[in-house]
Amino acid sequence: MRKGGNSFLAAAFAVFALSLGLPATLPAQEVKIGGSGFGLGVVKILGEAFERSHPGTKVRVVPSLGSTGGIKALLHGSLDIAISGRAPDDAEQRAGAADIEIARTPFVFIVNGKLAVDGVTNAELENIYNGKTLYWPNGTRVRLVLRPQTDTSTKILRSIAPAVSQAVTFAMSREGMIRAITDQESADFVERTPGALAVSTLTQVSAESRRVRVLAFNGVVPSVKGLVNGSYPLSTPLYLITTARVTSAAREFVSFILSSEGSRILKRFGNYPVREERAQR
Amino acid sequence: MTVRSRLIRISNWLAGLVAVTVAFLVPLGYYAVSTQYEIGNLEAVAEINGRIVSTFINANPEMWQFEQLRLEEILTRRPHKGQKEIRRIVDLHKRVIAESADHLDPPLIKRSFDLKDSGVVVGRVEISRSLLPILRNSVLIGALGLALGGVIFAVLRILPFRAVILAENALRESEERFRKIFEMSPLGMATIGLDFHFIAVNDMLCKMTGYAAEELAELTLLKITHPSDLPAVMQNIPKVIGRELPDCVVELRYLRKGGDPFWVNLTASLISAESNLSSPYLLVISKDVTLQRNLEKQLRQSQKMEAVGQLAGGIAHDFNNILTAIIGYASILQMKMAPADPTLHFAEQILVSADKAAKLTTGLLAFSRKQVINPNHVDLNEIVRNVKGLLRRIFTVEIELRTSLCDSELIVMADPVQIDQILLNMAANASDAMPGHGVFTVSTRAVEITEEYVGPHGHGAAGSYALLEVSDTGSGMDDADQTRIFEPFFTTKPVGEGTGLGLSVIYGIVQQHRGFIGVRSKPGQGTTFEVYLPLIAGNGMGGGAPELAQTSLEGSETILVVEDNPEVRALTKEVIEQFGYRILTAVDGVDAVEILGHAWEKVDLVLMDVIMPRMNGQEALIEIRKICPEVKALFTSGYTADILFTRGYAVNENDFMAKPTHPTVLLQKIREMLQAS
Repeated sequence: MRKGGNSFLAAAFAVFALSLGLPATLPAQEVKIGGSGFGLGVVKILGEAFERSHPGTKVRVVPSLGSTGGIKALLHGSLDIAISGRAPDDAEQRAGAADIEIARTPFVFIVNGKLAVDGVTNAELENIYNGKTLYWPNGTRVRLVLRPQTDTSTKILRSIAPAVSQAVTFAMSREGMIRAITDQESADFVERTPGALAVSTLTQVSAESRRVRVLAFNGVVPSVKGLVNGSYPLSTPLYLITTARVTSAAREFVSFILSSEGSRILKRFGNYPVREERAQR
Repeated sequence: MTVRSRLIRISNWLAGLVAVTVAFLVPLGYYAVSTQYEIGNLEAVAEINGRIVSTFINANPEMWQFEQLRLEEILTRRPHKGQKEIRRIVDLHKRVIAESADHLDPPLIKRSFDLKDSGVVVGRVEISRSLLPILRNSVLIGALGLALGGVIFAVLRILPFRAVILAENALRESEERFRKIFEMSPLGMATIGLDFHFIAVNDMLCKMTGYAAEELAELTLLKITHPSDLPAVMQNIPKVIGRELPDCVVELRYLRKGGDPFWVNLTASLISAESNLSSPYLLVISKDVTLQRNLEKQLRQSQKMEAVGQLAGGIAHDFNNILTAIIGYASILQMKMAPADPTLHFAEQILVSADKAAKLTTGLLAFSRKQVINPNHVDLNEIVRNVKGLLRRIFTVEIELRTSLCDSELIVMADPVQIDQILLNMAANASDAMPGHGVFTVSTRAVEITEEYVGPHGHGAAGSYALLEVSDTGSGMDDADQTRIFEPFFTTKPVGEGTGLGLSVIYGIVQQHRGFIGVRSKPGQGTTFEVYLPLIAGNGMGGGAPELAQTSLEGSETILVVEDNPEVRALTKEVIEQFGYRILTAVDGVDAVEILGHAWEKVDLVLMDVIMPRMNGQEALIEIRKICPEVKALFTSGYTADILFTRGYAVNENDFMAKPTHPTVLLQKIREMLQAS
């Protein structure tokens, strides 16, 4: 639908330009962006905002490739900008990848929207992942949605506590578990599966308008404010990765994201913009 | 090649074939099945992964090649206990997009599944596994297959072999059993070919015929069969060979090695094997029935002699009563006539003729063993020595009398007078058989008669005997005469020269002495009689017959004569009365008891017949003794002691006299008894 909307906007822009006596040309430039799934939603909103201010540039957000896939596609030249939840590693940097951290977003636990659960603690997470807690308080079966071992979200989850990491390892070894490759697939499972529990980011839930319940962690409800004041401990960065071959349109889009308008949009959809963070420092 | 080796060879081939088949098919089958399973499994895994990856590609068809980690995450989703695999996702340029690889040892087996983007192939999933585990297992199973094949070979080889051995052992045991039955049979057994040649013979047949087995192997059944009996063989055995008869039983004579015939009961049956491994042959079983035939002959002879004896004895008994009367009355007549009476001679002739008749009846009674004998322990040698002089007088000077007596005593229970009678009768016959020169030999010896002797000779019983052998060198006789020689009135002498009672009397005497007699003779080769008398071991000689005291014949005592024969009763009464005795008479035992019960005078002696109607002498005496305990009794009878014994009367020489009795002897006996205290 959004894609259809973009086409419609492009067509409307062309009709509007003709009526103003401007040459009737299709957007000459396209910024192809993709990568980590949790950032796609807010980047799409940013792109739409950018296209409105830069009618000659089309921002095309490709489906989730993951941070590594996004950087790989960037280095291959298939993307102009990669979205990543991590900074490029040494090899990627040697290949020309350069990162621009644009925001941080709370790393959150989400459950099915119909589940009457408000929060989760370290200990509860440990018991859920190691299989000791099989049912929610209302009797619904706990259904974990696991992410790939190499996924950034799994790494963040493991970093909460060694016991949690061990519990995650145990959960990974269990057969018959729900496994989701992408962030979107993970959120989709939580939305449709009773008792489902998964990790996500506040920005994904917000930007993609997910019908899920975001849980408080250790009694703290995740929010940008909590992230800012340090009461909420879990977060994940959101990077834009570019190379020296970056196009001007892409550069302009990056500039837009880093602009106050971009920061406003980022913050509105669950992110703590770097621009604002640096300003506060 | 024997059946056994052929069976073993076939079983070895079969066992080897099965074993090799098992040894190779098991691992090959395992390899084929496992490989096919592996291929099928790989294809299924490749398809499953291919479909998953295709779904993934469809979610991001333009950029999926860059999602290496996520694709590898998909590829690493394997069963925990799954096999080691190399899983790859390659694009159309065969570049590896993602890989999840375990270390695999070659050789590898690989299956792939196309990855499609909206129906267009954009790459493929390749799954590889190592065939080494299957090959290794195939080798292991091959080893097991070889072992199993070896076991199967051994079992299949051993079992039939064992079955063959068991069957062979059973056959050998059966053969051994039948061989022993064949060899140890008390019957003569032989197998003969259809040409009557002996194939195999047992020891008994050899023993019966006197031939060694090797000798019989050169002979035929016909060769040892008596020529007279060949027709019986040729009539029956061909029918058995021709299966007209299941078997045949023939009684015939075989010829011993020396030519002596002997009787056998021959049973022949055809043995024809169902297989063609051996030719049909005859099983011939021969039972020596010579003994049986001799016994039958002996029985027939015995029965005949018994019948003749019964007849002769019965006649003699009746004659005795008659002669008793004739002699009695003639004696009275003679005693009453004056010596110068010219008719005295007639009375004397009557007595002479009556005595001859009495001797004739005595001979008949002797034959029929109804003569009273007075047996005692005597030395047979002594009897011969005593009679030798008498014998010499019988022969002419041309005939030599030889005796050959046993060195030791031969004590027998015999009546010497009877033995004398035997020798005199034989000498008389021998004299007639040797009209010119000749030798008459009498010998004695102790012999032990065994069952082996009894059978072939057809007479006698086992035991120790004194043998009185009497032979002459006379004209001899043939078999037919020998079988009838002891019959009364049978004689080979010209008419009028013999009574035909001489040997009959001998036969009767010998029988009465519990002995037996045999004869060996051939025409022109003389005759030998063998008289066997039971030896008395360890007993010395007893005394002879007591001498009668010379006593007066007259008396005045009262005598009760009990006699059922009226002539004898009247004669006896008359004779005894002649000598002063008072006589009462009774017709039988009952009458005697009654008379005694009413007698007004004392009865001193009862002269009583033994065998009488209503009450016999023995029973009557018991009743008489109740009335007159002191009365004496003298028994008389025309029957012999053994007959009387069967009627319940045991003869006591002291109170018994055999009929016919000479009046003088009777009176002497009466006087003797009355004078005895």
